[in-house]
Amino acid sequence: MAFDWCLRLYEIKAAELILYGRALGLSHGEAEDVLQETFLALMQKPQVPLKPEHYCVRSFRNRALNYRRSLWRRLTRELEARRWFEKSPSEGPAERAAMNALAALPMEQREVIVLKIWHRCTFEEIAGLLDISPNTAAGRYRYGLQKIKLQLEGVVYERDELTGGTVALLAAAPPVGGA
Amino acid sequence: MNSLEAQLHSWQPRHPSAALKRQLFATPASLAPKMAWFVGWLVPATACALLTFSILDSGNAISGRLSPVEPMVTTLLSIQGFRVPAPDSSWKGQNCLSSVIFDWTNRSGSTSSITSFPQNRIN
Repeated sequence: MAFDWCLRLYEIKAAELILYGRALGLSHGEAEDVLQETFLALMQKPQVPLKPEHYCVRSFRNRALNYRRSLWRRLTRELEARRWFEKSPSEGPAERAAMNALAALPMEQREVIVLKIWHRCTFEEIAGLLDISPNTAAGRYRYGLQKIKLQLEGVVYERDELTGGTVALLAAAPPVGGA
Repeated sequence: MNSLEAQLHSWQPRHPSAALKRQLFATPASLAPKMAWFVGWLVPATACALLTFSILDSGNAISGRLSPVEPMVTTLLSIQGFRVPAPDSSWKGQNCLSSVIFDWTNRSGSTSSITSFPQNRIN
């Protein structure tokens, strides 16, 4: 029954798809709207797709990229909390900074990271989904992950908006003792 | 998966709202209690309202005010087409036919072999 497999798929994928929506530049509310559209369409399908999870991710991506963003939606997105993850009691400042670093990555990098880590896609699957080569996908992944790693290790990086998003890595200055 | 990937994987993505799941997967069985509550509230309330209106309405009729039928009768009577002809002088000419109309029955030049009624023997 379509209802059952959709419900199971929803239980498994809903939060991950919301995160993917955030990686694609949507607000939490917008990602929920797209998630609803995706599952409504899935429930209309007479047959279960061959790979339901991948079909779901692809369908979600297409809908997210086609999602019409009005001025009001843009405003509400700006006002909405930027939190992408559930609050954890063990969450420290460095981890929070890393989460923010993920959100601040270019869309191409964070999309690959989200697909690889939270959706457990291989580079081949990501390449097929994004219509790029597996090497490109792997490169984006490593580059993005390196920035997050630096953030976790206490390295501050600044993004130069004026030069088109190039990233300059600046080692944090060691604390000056006795000053 | 290295330690960094494992650490990232431990971050739990935010869940969608519970309302979204309800909207998507609301079954008739889960809607039944709500409907039962709604019907259980709506039906008695409607019955009470109807009963109240009917009691108020009958109370008005008893207290001497016009019943809802009376204005309708008044309106009908005011229309010319529904007026019943009254036997007054203005209608006399149309109801009393003059004897001239029946003159042909008294003529003697009838071709019939049967004679007309004599004038002096009516009965």
